[in-house]
Amino acid sequence: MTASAVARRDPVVAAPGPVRRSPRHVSAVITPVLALAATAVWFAGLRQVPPTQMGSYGLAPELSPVLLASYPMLVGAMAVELLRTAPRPGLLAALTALGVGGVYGLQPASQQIARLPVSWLHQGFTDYIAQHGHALIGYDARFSWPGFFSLFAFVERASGSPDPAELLRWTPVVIAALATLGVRALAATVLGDGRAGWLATWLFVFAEWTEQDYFSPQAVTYVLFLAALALVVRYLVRPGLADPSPAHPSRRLPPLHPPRDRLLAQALVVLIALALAPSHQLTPFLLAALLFALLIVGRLWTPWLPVLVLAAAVVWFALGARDFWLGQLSIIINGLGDVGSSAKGVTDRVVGETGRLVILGVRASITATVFALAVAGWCVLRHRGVKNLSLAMLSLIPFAMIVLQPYGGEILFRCYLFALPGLVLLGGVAMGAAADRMASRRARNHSHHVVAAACAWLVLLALASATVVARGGNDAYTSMSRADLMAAGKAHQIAGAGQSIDVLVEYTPLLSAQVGQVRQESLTSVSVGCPALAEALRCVKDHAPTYLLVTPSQENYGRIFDDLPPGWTNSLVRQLTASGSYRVVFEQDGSVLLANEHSFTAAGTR
Amino acid sequence: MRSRQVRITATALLVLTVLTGACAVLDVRGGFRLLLTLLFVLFAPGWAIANYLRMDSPSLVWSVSAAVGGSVGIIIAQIMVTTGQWHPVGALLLVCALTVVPLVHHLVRRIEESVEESTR
Repeated sequence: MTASAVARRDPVVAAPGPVRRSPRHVSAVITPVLALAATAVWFAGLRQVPPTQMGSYGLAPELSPVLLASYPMLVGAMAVELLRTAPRPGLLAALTALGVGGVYGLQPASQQIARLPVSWLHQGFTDYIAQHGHALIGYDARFSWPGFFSLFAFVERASGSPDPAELLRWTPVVIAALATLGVRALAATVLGDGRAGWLATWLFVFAEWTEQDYFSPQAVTYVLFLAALALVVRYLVRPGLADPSPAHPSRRLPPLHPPRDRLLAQALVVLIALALAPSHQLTPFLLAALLFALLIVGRLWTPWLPVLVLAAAVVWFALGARDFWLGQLSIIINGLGDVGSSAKGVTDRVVGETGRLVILGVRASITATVFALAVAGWCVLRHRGVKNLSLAMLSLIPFAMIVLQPYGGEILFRCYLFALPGLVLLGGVAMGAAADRMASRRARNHSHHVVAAACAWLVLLALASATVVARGGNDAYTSMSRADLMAAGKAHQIAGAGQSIDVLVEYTPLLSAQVGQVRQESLTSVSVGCPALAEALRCVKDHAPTYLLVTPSQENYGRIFDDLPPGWTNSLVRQLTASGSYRVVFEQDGSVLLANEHSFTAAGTR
Repeated sequence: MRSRQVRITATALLVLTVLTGACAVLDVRGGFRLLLTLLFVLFAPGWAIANYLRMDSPSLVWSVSAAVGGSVGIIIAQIMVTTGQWHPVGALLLVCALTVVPLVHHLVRRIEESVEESTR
């Protein structure tokens, strides 16, 4: 049996729609022409969108209609190619790459610097390790899992410490591309090389709205997690996840690959597990849980593999992350089973202007659509006689994290992200079944082909458009400008030991440097305790930070979440300067750095 | 991967490895070096190791290569941080040197059996 035949050994799932080469039809040119046109239109419509232009609906309303027209064209090319009698793998791969660039490259290309303050905070952590060669223990829980920060500190120092701004800016595209490769590898193994596998990949590309792909440990470990899962499913699982053959935990079958390949695959999974353990607090445990589940249903051939993956994570938690759990053991134990905190975290997010609520609705709709497609795929598999629970487990086990982690509302993002590979595999089965059926009728009835193409186009386009809207939905306050970065840089340059730099809310690139050396905090953080932005003036006067950074993103945040009037930050700056307590030391494009007159005079002009 | 593809990829990654090492030794400055180092760390050591596994799907090849490369990078960086022996440039040169060996081996070895044969 050939390797590709092993990948496609389930005729129930992958039989129809084999991908062959050598197109001879005139329609062969439609796909490349549409794809090229979509790319040209995307670049032609691209323009910079600073935070000052955005409202509560975020990025989407500010995009050029020309750019928006590229998505129906690209999805059209996908639908046309997929429903050809012999779809061309090279073109399908190129269309996938264009999809990744179009969805995940939009924000980096249309904004001046990396978005999300957390990515800058992570750069600050990386910078600390690069400078000192060790983690800043006790400063933040994330330093107890420093693998990701150590890796990029290593890369930055070994590259001569250049400005990492562009690295941060384009990280989402790279992470999305690598994650898509992982999902594609999984889909090709489980569903074969036919239409279902490509549809599953595109569902992933067009339904990943969680924005966990910024410069962060969870983004990199997600890529590692997907590769480990793909290796396991490809080399160490038998029967396959969508194979109707029965499996028994007590009579596990060795996979058909040679022992050398199986051994090397196991070694690589262990290597990845060793890297996951010091890098993220959730991912290695989730990988172990999925492997245990595959073992329990009798599909995983190596019983010791999940034990090793779990052991690496537990050993790091016990020894490497000791400072974390010694101080917070009660929080960890009390958090177990605290579903209420996750539920509260979700309800706490449902606040703000109409636009913000619409964006939340769009996210919920994408999630509901993906679940509906997965349920439909599950029904198709049952109808074909596939009764095993493997794919359902891949989709549902990540939701166990809600019970295990007191992570607030963000845990649902993570659950959806980790469930997405399983969900899209099932969704791919559903859409692939419909596409195969319609494409096979093509020779007999042209109208069926048109209907099939229209349906596939509509579903993918709806998801792609919704994901573009959802991903940019928070950009009014999560995106930042070059002027913001310059203002933060100026603050880092002039602030000395014992001084403090404050922001009104966290949405600035402030913590990108001098972490642990200069106090940098948000007025609304727990440590400062300003109860509301409406009281910002009083809070600034009471807390009296040495420097105060005010940016358009913070202005937008106050308008969207606290119903403050337009220009409230300008008014605050005017009142602070008029009172004589602060003076402006930097101002550009709405970004203002104020210095406390008293501290500034006492320290002398630096 | 077919034998010709393996040789082309190994050659490209060998050039990347040598360039990365040379930039580190000569202390070349600029964003170009960061891009080069990132590409090297992500793909060269990972592909050099993972290519001993017979893989027929390009998505699996590059997904596993990036994951293995990233994992090797994390483990080396974390060992330096944990032991307090923080020598990023030296570590990079060591990884470059160690990566050259399997890359050259991929270049010169005869791919004895194709992927299809491997699963018989």
